[in-house]
Amino acid sequence: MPRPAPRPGASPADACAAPWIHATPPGALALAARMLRWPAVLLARRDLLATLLRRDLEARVRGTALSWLWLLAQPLLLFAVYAFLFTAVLGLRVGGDGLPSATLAVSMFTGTLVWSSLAEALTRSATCLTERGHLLRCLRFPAELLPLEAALASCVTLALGALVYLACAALFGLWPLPSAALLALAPLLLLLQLVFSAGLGLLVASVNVLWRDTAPFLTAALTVWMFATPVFWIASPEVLPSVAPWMPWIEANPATALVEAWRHVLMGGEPALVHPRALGESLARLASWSAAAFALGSLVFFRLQRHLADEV
Amino acid sequence: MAAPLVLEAQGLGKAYRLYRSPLARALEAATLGRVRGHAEHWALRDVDLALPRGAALGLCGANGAGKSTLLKLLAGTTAPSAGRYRVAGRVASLLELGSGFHKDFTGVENVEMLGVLAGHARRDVRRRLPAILEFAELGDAVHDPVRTYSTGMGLRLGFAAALGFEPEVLILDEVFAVGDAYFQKRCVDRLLELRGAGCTVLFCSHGLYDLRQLCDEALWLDSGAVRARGDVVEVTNAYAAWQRERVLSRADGAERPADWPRLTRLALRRADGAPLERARSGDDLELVVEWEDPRAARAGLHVGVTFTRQDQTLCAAAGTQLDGRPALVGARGRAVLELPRLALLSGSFDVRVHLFDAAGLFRFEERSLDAPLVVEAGTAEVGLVRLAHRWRVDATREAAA
Repeated sequence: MPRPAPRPGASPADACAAPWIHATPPGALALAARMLRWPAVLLARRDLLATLLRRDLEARVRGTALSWLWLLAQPLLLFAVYAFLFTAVLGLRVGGDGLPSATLAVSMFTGTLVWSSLAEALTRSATCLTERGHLLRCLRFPAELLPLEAALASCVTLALGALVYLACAALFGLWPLPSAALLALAPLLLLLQLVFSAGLGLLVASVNVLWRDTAPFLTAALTVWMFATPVFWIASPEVLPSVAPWMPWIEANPATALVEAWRHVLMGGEPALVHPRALGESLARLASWSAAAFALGSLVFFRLQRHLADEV
Repeated sequence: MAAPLVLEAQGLGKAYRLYRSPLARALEAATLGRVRGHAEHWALRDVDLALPRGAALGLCGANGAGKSTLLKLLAGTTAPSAGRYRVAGRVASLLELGSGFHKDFTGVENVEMLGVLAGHARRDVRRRLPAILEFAELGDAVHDPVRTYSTGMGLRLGFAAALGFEPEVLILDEVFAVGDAYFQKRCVDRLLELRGAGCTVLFCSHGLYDLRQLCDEALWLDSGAVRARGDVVEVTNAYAAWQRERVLSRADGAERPADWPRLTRLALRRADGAPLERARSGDDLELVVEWEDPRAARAGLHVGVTFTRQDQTLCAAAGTQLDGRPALVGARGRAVLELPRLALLSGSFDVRVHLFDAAGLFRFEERSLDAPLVVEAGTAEVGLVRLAHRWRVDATREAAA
């Protein structure tokens, strides 16, 4: 059995074939290098991401009789409630009698669908590291995949919800189906949402390990943010004259771009009254917000990463 | 010709930050560290390592000595605060019991998860799964949720998963604490098999016997610093002796009074006076004990000697009081214990001399020989001692009626 050398400083021929891991925190260059390594990490660890996602969704339906059907049943129930409440019971109308009676129900449903997906991604990201403290302390793995998985799972629920919506709208003749050209934009929109929520998720996940106040603060902030986002209302002075002075703020809200883009795609852009901004504009705003959020979230995560296992 | 280095560390250290409050942390972050809100606790300092392929290093030390911190650093779950390290090859670690198990998922699902977490492809995990499950010996329980498992079952599964992916570097933290002797034996066999295939092992245990069995080199950590490093038998003996001293000094409490008798010289040699390096079973040895007593008027002293094997088995003892000898009286003196035809078989034995009062009850001092008595049997005999024995055989060709 070979004996270890008594001291380090072995000849170069014997040196260990791996890069040194230093005590110094990562500098700007190292952080930039990690940003560039994102695609490689995703490719190398796609099986981990897929397994995490599968286990996550499975854990939600485990032990239930309907099992995987629950992932479809949830948006279905929500849609039934909205359709019943806003059309049959309340009979609320927007913008006069010229619009279809289901306008309000459908726009509120799509708004809720998109918002709950974003909120789910963020609340789950905030605790995804602290809940898995044991894992982080025991095993070495790319922890940045945990908030990413939370964002991915939220996109899956959104996609399933959108499918349920389209199926219901077509089956019950509640709302005309959007054109194929618009639907073709849905994957792009889903990707933008994934990048946006993953970016914010990386931020809140890592910060919450060091400051546990982040998660409860986030819950409160999300409530405020939801009402500041046109989920239950239409961000147009023509529909709601009182929002006029706030329009610059409302348009600067990334969630506005997200909700309105989805609404446009799912409702086919009709009637014009509930889609105050062009789809292209919303997509462009969302794309910039997504890039910014992902860059910020990744940088903060990578900067704090070396402290995470000690603090969870 | 040295094997290539698989693991190197230089000046490795780890300080944990202790913040007084979340506000102190916020203040420190807000001022970019100019206002310091934390105290530092150095759990580990200045460790140098260089392990070639196939080496096995054992860590020993008291609780809080930094063993787990060192293993966590090298496993990559925590970042160093000083120095640097590098590890080449696939690292598998088992740092805490049940590490990474999701209690609601089944054993199979958990092994799959651990496999992909460790960076293996799902196809690869599925290929190795049967062998891992077979090693864990859980039977049909592998399809039950892990929350229904006993501690031992969880350990078996964790161990099987850690060892099942052909690691090149294996890092184990005190994992033999639970698990029955049968499973321990299988783990040891598997570890030795992996080592034979070139796997480098880092291993920490309070069971010094496990260390000696598995490692050829040991590192003794004390309060985060390296206290000793070298041959596993020497280091673990020194550690065991230090532990016994610590227990005794705690029991004795205050300083020894100056007028107590004390041992001045201990020497184990051959009966012909030649120095002793390694003894063989059957050798004639003698142990020389010299003492001093500042109060010569004392009623007298007794001398006792114990032989304790590495695993803390007390193998034999001799004492002047046990042998019915009168108490030893005098300001100084020498007692020689003759050990003709040494009956001990192979092993390393701690020889300890005890100085008692005249009643043989109160112990003034006890001290081990500086080096353990290492015995080679020289035959294929097994066991602790060679009993005086002879054979008598009766046999017949006729079958029993």
